[in-house]
Amino acid sequence: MNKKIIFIFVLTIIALVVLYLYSFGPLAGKRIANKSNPESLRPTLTEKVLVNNATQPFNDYHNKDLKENYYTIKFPQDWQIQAGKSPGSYFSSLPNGDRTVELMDVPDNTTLELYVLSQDEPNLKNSLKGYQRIDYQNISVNNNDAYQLIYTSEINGETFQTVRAYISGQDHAAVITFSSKQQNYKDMQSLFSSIINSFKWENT
Amino acid sequence: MKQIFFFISFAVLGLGLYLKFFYDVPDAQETINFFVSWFLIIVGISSMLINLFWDKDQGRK
Repeated sequence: MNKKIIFIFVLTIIALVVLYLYSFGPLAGKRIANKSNPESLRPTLTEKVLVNNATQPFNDYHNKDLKENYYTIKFPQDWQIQAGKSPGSYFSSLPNGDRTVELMDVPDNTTLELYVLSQDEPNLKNSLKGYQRIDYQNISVNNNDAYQLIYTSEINGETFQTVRAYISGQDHAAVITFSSKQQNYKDMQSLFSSIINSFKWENT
Repeated sequence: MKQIFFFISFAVLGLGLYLKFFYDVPDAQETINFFVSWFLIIVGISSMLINLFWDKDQGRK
């Protein structure tokens, strides 16, 4: 057999072994590093936004964790913003409700709306006690198609009302979830809307 | 036979490149996509090279 063929064959086997180690073996850890970018947690700008007829200082956060999914969002200055579990997400926990922003991968063979209604809402129904849909509507957030789901659920015997906005993007969709105790929801509604409407994809 | 082998190698390489650059990979399947796409690219290129050199070897004989 030709020496060149033997050489190519051996080289291929070595390349495949290295590939396996790099994918699943001890070298895989270096490749699958946490992709959260520390810059995403540093506010870049502070400006005053009108909420409930009063101006309130908001911080701009530029999230650059996931390529093709960079975005900007404004949060009130007094919120303690932390990085969420997955790259591209934010989390802020307050005694009267949680606030999260995360990126959701929507498969190519479905639409965001179909995904929300056939996958995400059934998941919420299964995971949240006393889930009850209040409202669902198609909205627009800075010219991006979006869907807003409002529901109530029970946590430790208390009823919480949650607004969950799904904003379509080129690659992933952004999911913004804000919850508060049901009796406080009306007071918070305007603030939640301001934050949702401040969301902008940076690469579109 | 030579053309069939070359076409299959080309198709394998093409599938690997498609999975690597054009396929929208679900978040949970990035590792398996990384492995499968590079596997197909490596196997596709090496089988094309083997095909090429095999021909030259046969020609000399």
